[in-house]
Amino acid sequence: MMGIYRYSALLSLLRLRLEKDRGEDWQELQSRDRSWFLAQGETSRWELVDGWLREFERPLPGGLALLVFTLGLLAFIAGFALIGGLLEFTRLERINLLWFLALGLAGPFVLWLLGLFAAVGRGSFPLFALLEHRAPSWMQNHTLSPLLRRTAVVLSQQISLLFAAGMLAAFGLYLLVTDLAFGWSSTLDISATSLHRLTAVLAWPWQWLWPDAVPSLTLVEQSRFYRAAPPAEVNPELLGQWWRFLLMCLLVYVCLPRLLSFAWHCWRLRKMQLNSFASDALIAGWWQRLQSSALSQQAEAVQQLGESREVAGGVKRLPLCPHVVLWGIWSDAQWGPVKEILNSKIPQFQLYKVPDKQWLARTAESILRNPDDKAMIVCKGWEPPTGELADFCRSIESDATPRFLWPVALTGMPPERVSALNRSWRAFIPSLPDSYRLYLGSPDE
Amino acid sequence: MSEHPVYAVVGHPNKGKSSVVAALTQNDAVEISPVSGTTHVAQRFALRLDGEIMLELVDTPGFQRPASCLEWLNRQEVSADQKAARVRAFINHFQGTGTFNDEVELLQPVMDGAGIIYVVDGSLPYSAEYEAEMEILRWTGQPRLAIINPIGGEDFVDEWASALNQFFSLVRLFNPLQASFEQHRELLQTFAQLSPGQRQHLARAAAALEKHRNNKLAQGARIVTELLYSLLTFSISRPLLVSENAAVKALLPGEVEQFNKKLNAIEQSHRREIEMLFGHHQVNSAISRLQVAHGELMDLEQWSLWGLEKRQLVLASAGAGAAIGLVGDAAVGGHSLMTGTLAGGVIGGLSGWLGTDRLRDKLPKALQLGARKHVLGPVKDPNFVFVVLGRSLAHARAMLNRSHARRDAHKVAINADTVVQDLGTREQVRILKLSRQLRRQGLGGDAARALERWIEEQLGQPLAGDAGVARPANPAGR
Repeated sequence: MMGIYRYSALLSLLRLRLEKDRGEDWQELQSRDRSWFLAQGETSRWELVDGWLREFERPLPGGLALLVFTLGLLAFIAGFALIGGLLEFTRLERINLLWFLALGLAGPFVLWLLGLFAAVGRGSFPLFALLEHRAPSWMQNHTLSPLLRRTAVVLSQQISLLFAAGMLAAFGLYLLVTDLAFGWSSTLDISATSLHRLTAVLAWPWQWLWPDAVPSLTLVEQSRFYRAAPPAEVNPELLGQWWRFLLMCLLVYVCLPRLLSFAWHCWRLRKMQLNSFASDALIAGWWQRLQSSALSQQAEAVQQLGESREVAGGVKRLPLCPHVVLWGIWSDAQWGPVKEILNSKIPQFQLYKVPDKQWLARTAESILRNPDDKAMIVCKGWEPPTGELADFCRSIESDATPRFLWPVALTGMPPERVSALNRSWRAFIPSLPDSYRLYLGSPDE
Repeated sequence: MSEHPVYAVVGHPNKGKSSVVAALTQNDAVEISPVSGTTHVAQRFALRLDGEIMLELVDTPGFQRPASCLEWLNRQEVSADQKAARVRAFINHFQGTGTFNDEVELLQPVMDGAGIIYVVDGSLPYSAEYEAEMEILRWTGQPRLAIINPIGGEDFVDEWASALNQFFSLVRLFNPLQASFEQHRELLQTFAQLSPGQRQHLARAAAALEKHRNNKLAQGARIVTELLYSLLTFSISRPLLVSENAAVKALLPGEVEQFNKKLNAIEQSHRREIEMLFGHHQVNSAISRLQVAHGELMDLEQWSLWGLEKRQLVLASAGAGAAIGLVGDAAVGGHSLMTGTLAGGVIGGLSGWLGTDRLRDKLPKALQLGARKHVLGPVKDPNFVFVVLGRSLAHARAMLNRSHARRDAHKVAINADTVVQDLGTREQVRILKLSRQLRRQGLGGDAARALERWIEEQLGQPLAGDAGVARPANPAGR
């Protein structure tokens, strides 16, 4: 029985712990939880919760079992004391049936009805409302507060059931060790027939099951007494016959309703506890992480060079170079506009087309023949610079004259894309000898 | 050779190789730079299921000197069956020398058995210069797939497809920045065609990815439902002092601001959870602030005693009076015809009604167990549910569909009306009804489950304008 309270406490603690993980990477959480789960072997759901909390938070605080046990014991003693008080009598007095019915049966039965109303109805009930109002704010806004409320209800039902058990135990003990003599008495004009009618109604559930536990009219009439009158000679055995009726009343109107409502609330709580693994976002996510295979990414640790320094700008005007190298294979559509610009801006220049590797050495040789002449390499700006280009640049390097790189933008390409591609060229220049300058074209081109 | 499938993602520099790796391994930690040549060392990215590697991708440096490399390979005339050995000889010759560093890094995993995924940019024109790279890859003899990555458009895709079909057994168009989950899955299936021996591994990887995604969808739906419940039931209260009666109106704007602040904090926390769920660590969501006006809020002044509000107190005192009256009726054997009960109920109710107002200020503080308070919220506007759903669904769907290859700050375009507009009237009514039930039943009720299912369906739907890009680049492709 302790389990049900422990489960609620475990779920609350788990939820509080998972709140801390809200902003954490799901993948990492899954790796952590799944690897822990795989190391556990076959175990129950609740043991998993307990074990996980022990591993990643803290164990459930002790004392919960002691608290529940103490409350139960106190309730049992209180129930025992109530019946003990009702049945205690002096030698010449009789036990007042009406008091017994009012305090021993009607009282607990009405409390049970009120409890039932509070549990089923949606409105707040004074006791619970008070508890809720006094609860810490995290508990009030807790998504598990319905579960905690239900746990409190189950605990109250268990306490009440033990109270009823205490009553039953006391009644049994008194039956066994004393000769109980019941009677009824009233200053008001209540007839024996009225009381008999009432007892017949109360005994209706067991009238066929145990007819002896239904008081007869004779019994009702003969057990009436007047406190002020001298003790009448009555059959002592007759006055004790009420015990069957009272025992059945205790069982049917006190113990059975409590037992049923306790079982019902336990069932509801159990259902809620299990539902939390599917309905509570954090707990369900946690459970899913344990149950599903963990998909993880792993990156090999390597040291990349990182981005090179980019030159801030380059030359603003087209350099008037007598040597122009056309790097790569250009289609007529790509080369045409560039050729036009070169022809219009540079009066005379030598063009070297370098479609493939075999032309590289020859071109370099030609350029280096006139080391004081400026040279410009026209490249496809939409392609990134490569090592082969860098090698060529180095092969025609000159300390005396600047060299230029012109990455030509692709016609029709959006400016932001051109700008992004130019970043590679800006980063490329620092890797070349100092004589190299970048020309990125001018707006009128 | 590894038992699991390994693919080397190769190509010219700056063609989106790292983006393809990031998208396929769903790893936003893959370094992606707009500047070419930042990858100098081949790096392995593994997709693991419970520790077991399902798929491994090798992000390689781009070809820097393909023409020189091919020239070296061609220096010695070899027959077709010796070409792979010649490539191996190239690696052995230049490894550790600093020459052809990128080519060695690139070719090493391929010669170790990795399948080839050659990435080109479909928005830039094809040029014969690329043929040196493709020829080198052909020399390796490994299974080859070409991916046309339309980084900035599809202008030259056909040109590329025609050329690539000459060198590659499979050619696919795949945009790592926009590809949906289905497109990822299709690409994995293409890998299986590339290396039939690894079909089982790849099928397992695809199934694991699908299950993983479904789990995330379910979790995403739970988070959104919890957020919806939290926001729909959110209220703030403040104890009211007697002296504050006149100042309530003046304090109201501050209270509304505080309400909005807390509302946004709740939303922000759930949004972060969604981002973490879908593995976006570097996302910088920019979403407009959730703002609720005073007119849309419940605004109540509550008074409670022993935890009960006035109406409940009146009912309780009427009940108590009736119970006392009932005892009286019982005492006279029912001869009073229940007048005791009736009278007790009326007297109890009246004294509850009249007494509470007098009592509330006169009780000693210790006995009050209750107080006057000003309660703001929850939001009473029925459209609020659509606002919350619109924002959270738009965000969650954007995160779910956002490629792990993207590195731009993510600004989710939120239009709260979109969800409402896309829904039929009947669906809207259903959502309203479910949200009302959610308020009442809480997260453990059936309404929460129904909403979760609905949200999961919504999340699973592709985003509007999702480009169907994982398709064969050329129907006639080999």
